[in-house]
Amino acid sequence: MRRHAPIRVALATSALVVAVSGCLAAKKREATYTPSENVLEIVSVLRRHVPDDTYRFAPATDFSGRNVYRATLLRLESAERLHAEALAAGHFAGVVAMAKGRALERLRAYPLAAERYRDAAEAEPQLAETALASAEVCEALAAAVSLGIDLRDPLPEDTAPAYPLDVDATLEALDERVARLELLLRRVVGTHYAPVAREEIERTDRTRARYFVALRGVLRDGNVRAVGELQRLVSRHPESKNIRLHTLELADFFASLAGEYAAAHPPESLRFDPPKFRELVDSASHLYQRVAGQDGTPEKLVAARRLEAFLAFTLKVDRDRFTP
Amino acid sequence: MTVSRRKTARSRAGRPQRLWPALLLCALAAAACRTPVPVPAGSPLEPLSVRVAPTPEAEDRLAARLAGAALVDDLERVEAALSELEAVDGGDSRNPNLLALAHDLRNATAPDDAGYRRATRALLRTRDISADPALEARLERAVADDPLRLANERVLDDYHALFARTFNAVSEPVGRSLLTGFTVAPVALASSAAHYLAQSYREDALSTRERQALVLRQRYLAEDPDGQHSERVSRQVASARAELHQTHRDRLHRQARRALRADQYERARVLANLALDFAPADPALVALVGEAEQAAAAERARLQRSLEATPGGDNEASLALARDLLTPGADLEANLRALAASEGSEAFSDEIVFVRALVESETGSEERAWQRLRGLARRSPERSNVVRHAANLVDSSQQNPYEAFREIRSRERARFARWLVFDRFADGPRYTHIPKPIAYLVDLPAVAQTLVQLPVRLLVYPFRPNLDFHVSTAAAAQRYLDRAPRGSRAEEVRTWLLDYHEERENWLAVERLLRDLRDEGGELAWEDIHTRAADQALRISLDQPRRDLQVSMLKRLSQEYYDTDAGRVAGGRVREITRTTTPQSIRITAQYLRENPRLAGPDGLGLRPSLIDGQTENGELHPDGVTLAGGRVLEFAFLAESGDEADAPTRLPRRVSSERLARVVSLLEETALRNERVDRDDKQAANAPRDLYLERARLGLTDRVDTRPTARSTYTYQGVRERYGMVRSRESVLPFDLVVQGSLRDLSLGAFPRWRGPKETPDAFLYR
Repeated sequence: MRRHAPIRVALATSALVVAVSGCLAAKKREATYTPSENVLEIVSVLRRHVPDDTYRFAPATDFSGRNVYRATLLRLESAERLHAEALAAGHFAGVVAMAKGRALERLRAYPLAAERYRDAAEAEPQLAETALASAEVCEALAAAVSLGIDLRDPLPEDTAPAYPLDVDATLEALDERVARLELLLRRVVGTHYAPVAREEIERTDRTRARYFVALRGVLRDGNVRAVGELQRLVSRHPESKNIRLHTLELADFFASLAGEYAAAHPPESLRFDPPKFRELVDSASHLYQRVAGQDGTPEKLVAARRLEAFLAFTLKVDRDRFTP
Repeated sequence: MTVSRRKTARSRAGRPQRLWPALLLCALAAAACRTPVPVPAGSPLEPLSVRVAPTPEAEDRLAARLAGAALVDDLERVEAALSELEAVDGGDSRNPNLLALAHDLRNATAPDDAGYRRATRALLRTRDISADPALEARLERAVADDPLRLANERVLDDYHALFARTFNAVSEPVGRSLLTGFTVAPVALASSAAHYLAQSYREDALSTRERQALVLRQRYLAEDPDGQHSERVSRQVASARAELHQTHRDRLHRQARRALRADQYERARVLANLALDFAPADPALVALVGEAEQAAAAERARLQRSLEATPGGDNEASLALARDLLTPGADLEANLRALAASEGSEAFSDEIVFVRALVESETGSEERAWQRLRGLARRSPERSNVVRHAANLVDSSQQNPYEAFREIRSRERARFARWLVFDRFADGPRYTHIPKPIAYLVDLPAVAQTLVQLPVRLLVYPFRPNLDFHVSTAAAAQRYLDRAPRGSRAEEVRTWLLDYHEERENWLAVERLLRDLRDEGGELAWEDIHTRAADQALRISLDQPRRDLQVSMLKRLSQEYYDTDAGRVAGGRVREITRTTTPQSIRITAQYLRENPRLAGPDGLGLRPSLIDGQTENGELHPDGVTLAGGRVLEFAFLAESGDEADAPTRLPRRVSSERLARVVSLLEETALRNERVDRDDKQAANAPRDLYLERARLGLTDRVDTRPTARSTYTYQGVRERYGMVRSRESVLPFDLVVQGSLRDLSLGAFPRWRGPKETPDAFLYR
C-alpha cells in the first residue's frame, strides 16, 4: 500500500494544479487594430443595419446595449481621434463621411447627415452619386420636419413657446408636412429611407394627437377631439414598433378622463353618472389589457401595473354609487 | 550531557531578552534608512507624441474602396475589391485581421439576416480568426442571434427544466434515505411526489420559456414572412397563441374570482370581461360576470334600504331632540331626559343611548361614550336602525383609532405567536391554488418538522432584528396620536410606540414622539435621545450616494443638531465635500492601466512609465490611479510618503489639452468595449453620466464644466484582477451539484446529486 503513496500524492497534486490553472483568470488576448481594420469593423457593423426597418422593429443595439447607429457615430469619432495621423492621408475620408451620414440620418440629424453626404461626394468620386442622392433625401426630410409644431420638450433650456391656439393653421402645417413626407415616401420606396419617412409621418401624427390632448381644455369638445386623434394614431400605425406605446397613451387618456370625471363629480354627489364612468373604465381597462398581454416588451409591464393601479382607483368608487 | 543540556536550556531562556533590544535596534535602523516615497516633480505626463502620417499602403486603399462600395451597395465593386485585397495580402499582411474584417463587411451586404448568418457561419468555419478574439466573439454573437434557433433553445430549456425538477424530486429523498435508513424512503418519496404534483398543478398552459419561443417565432415571421420555415413556424405560432390565450383567460378568471370573494364586485366584473376577450362566450366567465353583477345589484339594494325611512312613530319629545341635535349649544341632556320620560319612549331606547354617547364624547367622557356605543353595537341590527350606525363607528379605524390599535396589536401578536409555532406555515399551507385539505396534507410532514424546531426559533428570534411583526400596530398607534394627542389613551399608546421605536433604535422617531412632551415640560432623558437621534441622522446622511442630496441633508443636520457631536461632524463634512468634490469622478485604477498598457502609453494618457513600474523610489501611482475630474482636469493619485497603499494618496490635479483628453477618452472607450467582447467577465456597467462626459470630451466640449449633480459620474474602470483576484470562480463542468445536506429539523443527513436547471434569460420577466 505504501508503495503507491507517492503516485497518489503526484496524482492529487497534478489534479490540483490542473484545477487551479483552469480557474486562474484567463489572460486577455489583445488584437490591436490598424486604422484600416478599425474603420472596416465599424463600417461592417453599420452596413449590416442600414437596411433595417426601424419603423416596424426597434433599432438594433450593439453588444454594449447602445443604439447601433449612435454607437457607430461615437466609434467613428473615436477612430478619427486615435488614428488622426494615419487617416490624414484622406483615403478613408469619403467612407467615414458616408458612414457618418448613414448613422446621423437614423438619429434624426438630417441637416448634419446631408452635410456629411456632400463631404463624402467631394472626397470620393465613386461615392458621389449615392451620397448626393442621400443628401437630397436628407434635405427633403429636414425641410419637411421643420414644418409646423413638434413634440414639446417638457424641460426646455429656455422658455418654451406655448402651443399655438390657431388650430386650423397648425393642422394645415402638419398636413403639409405629412403630404411632403408621403410624397417622399413614394420616391424612396424600396430603399432604407422608406422606414425613415414612415417614422417621420408617425411622429407627425403623434405630435398632432398630443397637440389636441394639450388643448382639450380650451377647445370645444376638446376631449372628443383628443380621443379621436389618439385613436387615429393607433389605427394609422398598426405595424409600427410604437403601437403599444400609442395604445398605452390612449388607455392613459381614458384613465385620466375617469379620474377627472370622479373629481369633478364625486361618486357621492348627485351629478355622478355611473354609466358614463363605466364606459371610461371599460375602455381604459381593455386597452391596458391589450398591451399587457403582449410578451417581451417593457410596455407589457407598464400596462399591467397601470391596469392594476387603475382598478385600485375604481375600488374607491365601487361601493358607493358605482355598482352595475 | 546533562550539563550541556542545562546550558542550552539556559541560553535559550536568555535569548528572548537579548533578542528584543536587537529587534528594536533593527526596526529603528530600518525606519531611519527608509526613503520616503517622493511625489514626482514636474508633470506626470510625457509630452504629447507627434506621429508622422504614414503613406497608405495598397491594402489600405483597397480597404477604403471596399468600405465605400459596401456603403453604396455596389456589390460588384465589393467583390472586386475583396479579390484584389486577397491577392495583395497573400498571407503576409501587416494588417493580420484585415482580410477577415473585409470578408465580414462583404457578408454584411447580404440581402437579409439569414443570409448574413449563413455567410458568417462559413467565415467562422473557413478562416482562422482566433488571432482576433473580439471579431470572433462578435461573429459568434451574430450567428447565435437567430430567432428560430433561439426559439428552439427556449423550448429545449423548458424540457431541461422539467427533467431537472423530476430528477431532483426523486434524487433528494432517495439520497437522504441512503444515509438515514431506507425505512423512511417510501414516506420521503411520497412527500416529494406530492410536492411535485402540487407545483405542477399551478403551471400555466404556456410556460415562460414557451412564451419566449412564441415571441421569437413571431419575430421570425415578421422579419421573413416568406422564409424557408414560414409554414411550419406559422403552425407552431398558431398553436402556442391558443395556449397563451388559455393562460391569460385562466389568470384573469382566477383574479376575478378572488375579487368576487373579497366583495369587489366591479373589479370582478371588469376582470371577467377582460377574460372573455380571450375566450369569448366561455360559460364559466359568462356566469362569473352574471354573478358579479348580481352581487353588485344586491349590494345596491342593501344600500338603498339604508335610505328608507318609515313615517310615523315620532312623539313631541323625539322631535324636540332631533331639532336640538342640530342647534348649537342646546341642552341635549334635558331633551334626553324628557324623551326617556315620554310615552312610547321604549321605541327610542337605542336612539337615547346613541345620542347620550355623542353628548359624552363631546363633553370629554370619551371612554364612557365608546363603552356605551360598544354595548349598542352588540345588539341586533333588526331591533333599530341606530345599531348599525353604532357598529359602524365602533368598527371604523378612523373614528375609533384606539380600538383599531388594540385590534391590530392583538392580531399581530397572534401572528407572531403563529410564526413562533409554525414558522413559514404561519399563514396556512404553501400551495394556495389547490383545495385546502389537500394542501394541508401535502405540507403535513414539513409542518411536523417545523413544530419540533420551536425551541430553536425561540432562541434565534431576538437576534433577527429584521423580523418585525408590529409594523401595522405602530402605524395604528401613530394614527391614534395624530388624531388624539391628548386623548384618554394617549399615554398608553405613546408608551407602546416609544418601546417599539427604542427596541429598533429608531431614535429619530423616539425624539419626534417626545418633542411634544418636552414642550409641555416633561423631561425624559432628552439629551441622550437627542444625541442618539443626531447620530442616526448622520449615518443616514452619510449613506446617501448623491452628493448634492447628501450636502443638503448634512447642512440641515448641522443646523438642527448644532449642539451635538454629530452636528459638528456634519458641518465639517459639508466643508470637506465642498472643498474636495470635483464635477466628475471617473476613475481609472492603476491596475487597469497596468492591464491595458496602451491606455497608459503615448497613444493614450502618455503617463511617465516610471510611475507604474513598481519602483517607489521614483514615485508611484497609488492604486486609485487617475481620475477624470471634469472639464479638462485629470487628477493623479500618488502613493503617500509612507509608501503604504492603505494610506490616503497625494492628489495632483493637472489640466491637459483637449487633444490629449480626446485621445484618452477615445482609447479608454475602445479599450473597455474590446475587453468586454473578449472577456465576458470584463463587462462595462452602464453609466449614462460617464458616457455623456466621454462623448463631450471626445468632441472637445468640456471647457464649459457641467456642474449638475445628476451629470456627475463616479464610475471606476477596474482591472480584472482587482475585481476577481488571482482565481476566478468557474462553473462546474458536471451538469449537477453534489449536495451534502444536514437538517436540524429531523436530525437527518443526506447526500444526493441536484440537477442544475437551465438559467433564465435576463429578459424572462417580460414574459410572465
